[in-house]
Amino acid sequence: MVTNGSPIQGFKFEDCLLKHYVRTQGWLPLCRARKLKVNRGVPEKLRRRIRYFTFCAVGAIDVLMLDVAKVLRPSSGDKFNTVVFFDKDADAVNETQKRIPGAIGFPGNFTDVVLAIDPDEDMHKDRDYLAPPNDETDQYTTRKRQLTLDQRRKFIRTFPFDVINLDLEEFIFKPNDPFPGKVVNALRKVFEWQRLPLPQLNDAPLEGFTLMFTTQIGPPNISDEYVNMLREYLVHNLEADSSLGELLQTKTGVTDVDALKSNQFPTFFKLGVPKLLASILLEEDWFVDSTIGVRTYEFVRESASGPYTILHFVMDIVRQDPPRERRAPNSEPSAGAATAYRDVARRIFEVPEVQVTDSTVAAVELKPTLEQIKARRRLYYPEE
Amino acid sequence: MPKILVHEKALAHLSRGLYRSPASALRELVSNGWDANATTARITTNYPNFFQLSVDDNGDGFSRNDFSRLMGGGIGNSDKRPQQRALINDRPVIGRLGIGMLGIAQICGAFTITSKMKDGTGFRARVNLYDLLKQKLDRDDPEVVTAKEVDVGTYEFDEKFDLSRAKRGTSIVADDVHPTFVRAFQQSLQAPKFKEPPRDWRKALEVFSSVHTIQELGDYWRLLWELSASCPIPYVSSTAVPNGLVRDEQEKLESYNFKVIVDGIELHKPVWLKGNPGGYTARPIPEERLTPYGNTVRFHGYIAVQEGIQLYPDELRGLLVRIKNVAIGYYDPSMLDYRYNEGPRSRWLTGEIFVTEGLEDALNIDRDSFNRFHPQFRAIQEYVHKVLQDDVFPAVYKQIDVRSNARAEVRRVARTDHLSKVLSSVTAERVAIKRAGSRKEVVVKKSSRGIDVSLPAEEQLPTKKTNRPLAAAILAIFELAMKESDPQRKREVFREALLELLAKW
Repeated sequence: MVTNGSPIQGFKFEDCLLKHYVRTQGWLPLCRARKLKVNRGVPEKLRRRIRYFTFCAVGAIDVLMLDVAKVLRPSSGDKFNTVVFFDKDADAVNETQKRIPGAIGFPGNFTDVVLAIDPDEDMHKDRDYLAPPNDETDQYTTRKRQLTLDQRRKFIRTFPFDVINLDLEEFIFKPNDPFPGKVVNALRKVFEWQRLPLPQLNDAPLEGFTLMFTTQIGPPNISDEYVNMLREYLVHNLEADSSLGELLQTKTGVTDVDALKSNQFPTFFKLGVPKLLASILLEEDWFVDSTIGVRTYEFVRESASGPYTILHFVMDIVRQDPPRERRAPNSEPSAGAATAYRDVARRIFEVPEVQVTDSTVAAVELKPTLEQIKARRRLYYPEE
Repeated sequence: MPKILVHEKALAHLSRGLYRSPASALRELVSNGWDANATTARITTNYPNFFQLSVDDNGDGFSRNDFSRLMGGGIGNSDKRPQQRALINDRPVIGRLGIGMLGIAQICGAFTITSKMKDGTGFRARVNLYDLLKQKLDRDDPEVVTAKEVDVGTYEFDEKFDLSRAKRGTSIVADDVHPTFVRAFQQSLQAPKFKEPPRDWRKALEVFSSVHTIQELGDYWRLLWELSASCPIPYVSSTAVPNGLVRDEQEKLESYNFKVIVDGIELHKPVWLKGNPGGYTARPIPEERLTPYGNTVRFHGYIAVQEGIQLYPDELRGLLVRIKNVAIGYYDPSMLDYRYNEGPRSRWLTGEIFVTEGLEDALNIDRDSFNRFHPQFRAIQEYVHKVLQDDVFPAVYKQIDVRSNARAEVRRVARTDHLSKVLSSVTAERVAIKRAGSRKEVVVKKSSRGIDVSLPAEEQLPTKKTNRPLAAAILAIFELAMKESDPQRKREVFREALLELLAKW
């Protein structure tokens, strides 16, 4: 069942053990591994801290979990200045910054800021958006435009990240968005900016990063354009690899994508979205590392309007080799990327998603770790 | 008799141009938290981007009705707190709620205020300040100027806000921060000596004292400095000023239990005098009560002089006057217009005057400066100048002599030792140098242990005082050289010894 979940009154998202299971069993191991990858073979003095982007929400549980696990380390001045986050409004950013001091917070609608039109985007010389304009008066609309463009520029400058946690906890597809949707276009931009050079690497780009992506299944009124897009990905996969049909039947009992779409929409969605992500990544010169492929965690949460399903996808991402700058225009993705794409597609059919339920959670000692994280938060923000 | 009236437009102008720095406006909001019995006031600047600014406290909060009254004409009215009550921990009332709230209007066009009281009631409202207010006032724009009143903006309660989500206290979040402010603070991170501010205030104080002026660190550090100097918060320790001069004050400040935290950095007062090789001359200003025109002004404080070395940063130099623990302006390097030129010594001095009663009438409307001809201000000024002139600077001059003599003695011992080594080297015998009473001549004697050389008394050498030690040493070399029998050897010994002596003189 697909609903547009609004929380039950008094429900505290951060206390949800189902979600905490995903954090500790899904996110944390990959972040730990990323930290090791980042500094593998690097002399101790030159090792750098993990750069982390998140929609962490007010509680900042994910950041604090990584702090407790010593994956994210504060600076010598005791600040989380390699953590960048977006939150919906000034209030939320304010609250989050109290809990993870030194983290860099951006207020506003993520997709609106990312997709804001910047006429000087490709100019090498930075334009000073905040300088007083000579031909406009000091009014809200002028100031808003100045600040949005500056915010976007400042956000771009924080790229690239070693870990990106796009924990939307809402729908990837919005019925009112023009196709292919603001989130998809924002992801394109994000993955594009991930190719920016990193000063700590002598201006070299990253070789890879870890991506966590969260979405609800749905929305209930999802438009045909979005559904057809997902359908196309699945059909294309099935056509490209005949053995996938058998896997699909084993997994779902059907061989036909349209039947899957009509009768098992959640499964259709779960199979389609990772392929969408993999395609955007490929388009932006990355690919999903086939070593672990895309791990999917799923749980159902109650809401005032009925239960809804949350999907968490976690994956390691690798830069194509040779990179786009060293490939012919309009050429296919690199050979390694194409192979990995096929392997990852197969694994999505093969490997079942982790169904996180109360019984799954009961098998793991989660409450103590959540309490430990909250204790760390009180250290930074005792008034809470 | 006709009355003299002030047009409300003047007050409206004030709402946009009252404070000289963002820190002054924020200080007013911190003071509101103090008066609301908060134990913590938190300022978040959205560092390093500065797209928003917030001040939160965990105090008593205030009601929707109080807010409406304040916005509906209570701003700047000293009766805005209907019932003045005692504050926790015997805190004195700073009592400025009102115009301070609009101080933030200098840096933003809109803000959201949320307040929740102990009983769980409260409100959230959005305050929108008019754009281009000054221009509208100047042309009597009917949007802001009506026949009866002048308004500076609008507010609207957020009726949908779930107050159970809010914590007790008051929170002001400014989001429409003016680009000029954002730009200035972003640029300040490029200041020549900017460093990432550490969360440990002691480490931050080390950064402050490493620069000549805070401007080298940029506006963000200046904000930290100004807030730390102006808020009623404790020192880093009770020994932050030598001779225990702030011990009592520290005890009192700690008993108030009030913290100010900026971007996770818990501020303390910016004074921390320690480790000066020349020591400190520190004088308490005991509790004093003066009554110019029958009005009582009561104060105490301290003056501390870092002997021989300029205080850094420059902003720590001078005297800071506090009323009820809140600084009025910043350290005044003129020492309240002290009339004597003390040369470099005035750059060694810092001090605080804590006014516990009176002087508020002498405040200018920005509450950042004084009417310097107000009788109460003049009374304090005269008292402090007398302390400086009769006590502090004479003691400093005495200390200069003491240090100067001590340095001369160290130098004398070193030179005597050097002379002994030089003479021992050229004669290949152990030469002991003695200083003998009032003798005019050098005396050289053979002894069982080597050669004893007695230098003439320096005051017996009729040359410039500074040249006398050298003259005595040269005469000693001369006399010792003269003991050689061979004329050529006499010349050699004198030449060799003289050059060696001068090499390290």
